[in-house]
Amino acid sequence: MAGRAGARQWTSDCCNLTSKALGFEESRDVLPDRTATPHYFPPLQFNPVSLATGEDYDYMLALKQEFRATIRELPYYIKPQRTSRDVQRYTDKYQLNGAGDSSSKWVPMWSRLPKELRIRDRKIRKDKTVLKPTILLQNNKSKANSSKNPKDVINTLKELEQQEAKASDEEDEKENEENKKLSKEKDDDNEDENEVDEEDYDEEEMEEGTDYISTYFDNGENYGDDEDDNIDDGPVY
Amino acid sequence: MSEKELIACSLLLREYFGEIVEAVSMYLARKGSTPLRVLVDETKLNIDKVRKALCVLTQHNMVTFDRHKRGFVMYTIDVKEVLLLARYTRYIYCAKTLYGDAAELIAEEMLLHGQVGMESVCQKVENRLNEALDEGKHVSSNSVTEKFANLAQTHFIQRSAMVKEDEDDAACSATMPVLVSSADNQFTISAEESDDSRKRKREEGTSTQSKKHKTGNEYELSECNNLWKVNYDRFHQHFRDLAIISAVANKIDKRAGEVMRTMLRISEVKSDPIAEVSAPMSSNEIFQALPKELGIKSSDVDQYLNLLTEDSAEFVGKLGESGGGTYTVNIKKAITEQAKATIESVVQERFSSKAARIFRLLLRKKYLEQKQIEECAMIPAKEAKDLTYTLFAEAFLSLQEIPRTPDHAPSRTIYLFTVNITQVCRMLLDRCYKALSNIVSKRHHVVKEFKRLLEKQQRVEAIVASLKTSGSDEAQIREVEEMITPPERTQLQKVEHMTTKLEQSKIQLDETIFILRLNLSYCVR
Repeated sequence: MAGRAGARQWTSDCCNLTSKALGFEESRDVLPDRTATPHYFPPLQFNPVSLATGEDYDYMLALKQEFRATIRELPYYIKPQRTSRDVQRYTDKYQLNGAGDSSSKWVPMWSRLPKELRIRDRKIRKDKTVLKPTILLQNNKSKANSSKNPKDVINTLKELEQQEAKASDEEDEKENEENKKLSKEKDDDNEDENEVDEEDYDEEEMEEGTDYISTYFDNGENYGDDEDDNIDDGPVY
Repeated sequence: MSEKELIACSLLLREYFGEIVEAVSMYLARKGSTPLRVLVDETKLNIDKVRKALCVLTQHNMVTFDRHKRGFVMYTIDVKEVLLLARYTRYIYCAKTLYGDAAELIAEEMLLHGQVGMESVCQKVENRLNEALDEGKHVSSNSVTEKFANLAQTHFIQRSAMVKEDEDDAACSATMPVLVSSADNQFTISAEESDDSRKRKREEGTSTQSKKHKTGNEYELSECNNLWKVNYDRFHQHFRDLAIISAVANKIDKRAGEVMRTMLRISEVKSDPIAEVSAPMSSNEIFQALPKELGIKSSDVDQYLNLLTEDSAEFVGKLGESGGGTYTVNIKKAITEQAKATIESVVQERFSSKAARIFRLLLRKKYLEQKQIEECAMIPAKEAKDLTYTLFAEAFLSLQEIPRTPDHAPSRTIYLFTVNITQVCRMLLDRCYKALSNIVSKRHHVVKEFKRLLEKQQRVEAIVASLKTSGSDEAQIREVEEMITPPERTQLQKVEHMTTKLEQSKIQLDETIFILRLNLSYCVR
């Protein structure tokens, strides 16, 4: 304690000395008061000018508020995914119903967007499979009218099926290839990261291992005067 | 683009489109062009959500896509386009002042949806107008389409890029559509579109027979090719002209402003919209184009033109004597003067009028030594030093060193202070964006803090409204209204006052941003 106080004395003396040598009259002006907490919002030297007012500004304000309210209702405002809460609440199931409503209405113009952005809806696929019998039925009806060969119809249907299968296979392959490329790149990255991680981990272990021994040294000097410990460190914010 | 711009961007996006769009677009803004897969992996969002966010952003013309040479699609965000979100209300208001309520609603719908078809927007606007009007009155669909045509003719709205059917590049069109915008039909309404909207009324009754001939794919294609969007550049040009006119009106008088307005209107047709100097026009021409009801005589016009040319701001330059004098509007000069005035007033309000005096002095004399500043500004040496160094520390002034010996020793070096307008503009613009993000996040915070109270107010208002329509008695309504206690009421008032003030400052801050950005666009070419 005594040593510390001495050190403080010395520094302030030193400051006085140097400031005198530099030609300042009083050291108080130079050294800011360190004990006071600085302001979060320091007082302004000049107050800001008040805002301009007028009819057009009021109108624009109303417009702005209305505009924001409207765009929040539109499907473009995507609500965040609901994270599963720890506590289940009674209201959860009711709130969930409301959340998905506005976002599901909008159907973008897919022909203006890249194919990969198309959000695939499982329901639509189901519908397709359901549709097939109806086509058959129609065909049957037309057969009755025009007395077509039933084999022809079956053949054409088969051809169509094969074409579809081919098309979808191709698409899948393409996607798979892309996936592979990307995942390969990613794997490389990951490996690098892993290595770095390992190194970091080792260092940490080392530090923790040596930590205890190097710093745990108590000569008993500080015993009993815990209160004065923080005097020199300045205030804690 | 600076970090502060990005933060402002992200807050604006969150306000208008939600957190997911914000996350996706921020990744795009920071990393540049990115394919979908990487975007999904890095943002750790559900793939469908990312797709949706990209759809929303492309719909609002903020994201463009392009084909990478290895076959996948790259998405790129336009940050400048995103920052315009803060200016949307100004566009809408501008449309209203120019062409009335119908145009206002057209602009609003267009900004809400990014890109819209002519038919659908006209239909919506018509419905909204009819809802607002009393019963018995009716707005005809023709008047709305006419306004739409007006906006298109004056280039305030433009056709968005069309999907190009390209057989040569089949692989490309399999993964993504090719969007092409052609210059020749950008602002013209095709006969098909105007037919559609005119026929629509008749068709409603008699089923959709005429549509049948272009069923399915063809119809869809024609629909997705006839989309319109707001032409921001044209609006900016209009704002620029308004700023110049109001500057002239403030400096000389209103009639001089009218002369200026006429000159700008003539140059609108004649010269390139981004030209620094307008096409030359004779004083005769200006006089003829002036609205007659103002009662400005030919001799007055000449006098005003003389005044404008002799003014220190040099908004108007004189080219020759032919045709009663040939004049041009120096648009770049006018904008720079505006920016200078804005910066000067910032200095004055932030540092005192004496600092503003030093700043103006340096603007006029370009390079001055510390000593010269003291003398010319007639400010005591100590105070002048203090002010100059504060301005320098805040980056309003810059320093030019001129060493007298090659060793750059401070004692043998001349230090000249100067103002670099471009750099000060950039610095202030950065601060403006910082302020913008502060405003948005503060408003967000306030609304979040009083969320429960605001929701309660909304509920009570809804109940009162429903009671009023069902015709309940006064006492019942009052009872419901009393659900909000007096202390809650005062708190609500406080919140409302705070949010309106924040919104107002956002609108007015955007005007400063506009001037500074415009000046930068003219300076950096």
